[in-house]
Amino acid sequence: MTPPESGAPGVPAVGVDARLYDEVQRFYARQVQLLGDGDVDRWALTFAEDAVFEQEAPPEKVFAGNAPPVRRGRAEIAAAARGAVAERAAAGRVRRYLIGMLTVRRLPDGALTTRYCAVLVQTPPGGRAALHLSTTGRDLLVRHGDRWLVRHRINSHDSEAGSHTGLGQQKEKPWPI
Amino acid sequence: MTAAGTAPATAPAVTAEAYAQILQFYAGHMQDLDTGAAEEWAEGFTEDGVFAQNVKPEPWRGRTHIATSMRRGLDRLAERGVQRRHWLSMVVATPADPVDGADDTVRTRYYAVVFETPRGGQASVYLSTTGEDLLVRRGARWFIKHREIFHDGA
Repeated sequence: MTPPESGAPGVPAVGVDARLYDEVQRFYARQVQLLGDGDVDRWALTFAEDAVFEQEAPPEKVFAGNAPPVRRGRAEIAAAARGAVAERAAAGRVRRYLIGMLTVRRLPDGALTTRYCAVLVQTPPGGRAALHLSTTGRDLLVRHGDRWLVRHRINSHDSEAGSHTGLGQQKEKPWPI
Repeated sequence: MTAAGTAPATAPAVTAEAYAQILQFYAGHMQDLDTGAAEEWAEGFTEDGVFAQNVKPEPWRGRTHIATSMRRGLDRLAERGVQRRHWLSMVVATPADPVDGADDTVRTRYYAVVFETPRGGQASVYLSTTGEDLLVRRGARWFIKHREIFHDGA
């Protein structure tokens, strides 16, 4: 079978081949587990050193609530996550991040752009699991040796107006790199 | 005998390439739906595609009808300020008898859960369904020739 990205001229690419798609899915599986486990140090290493993490979210839900909506660089990204992880650990809450509905596109330079849905399921100590948040993500992934790293992430909460209009989610939106 | 739409345990699987293409097709198709792009979403059906749901008396027949019907539904949702996210998963895909000279013909069965978030509000699970599609591949693109969605509890 013809790989989808090598379709006939004029036919829009519809994705990446099975091997690459599988690789990216496993990247996200590992990344969400590191954050869910509160292993911020190793989670931060899944971002490029000069990565940018933007959040379109209500101010009180930008991670711990006191992180800036745009974090620049691995250290700042880690600091924001560390605050959030400490806050939930103090409250005894467990958070699990689930990613689905993933699309992957390859750029001419070999980097990847991805789009996906991400939900957060939260369980209080001794309590009932509940859907905490529904969001979408757009990433720019770059290869680093045999691994992928997030170079730029935009995470948009569905409760925000931008998510409703879809204006912030145009497929052809250029990456602000 | 097996129940309608389910595959016997011994059914051959589609190739890894076809399966990855189908997962990506579904993800992009649901992204179109959830960003309000009814017309692009409808292009994921064949011209003569059919979209049936067990909660609707009549299926939508043909890409044009599917597009205009979904456009009305999405406009109503937008007026209410509600954001839905359709998650398809647990996709079982089995080769099917070729139809319409397609390059590939596949039958799928899957779960589709819908999350809903009102503007400024709390996310919740809106709906749990199963779906059954007849998919055809033409060149590098997949299309839905027939889709039936079964709402749980309906």
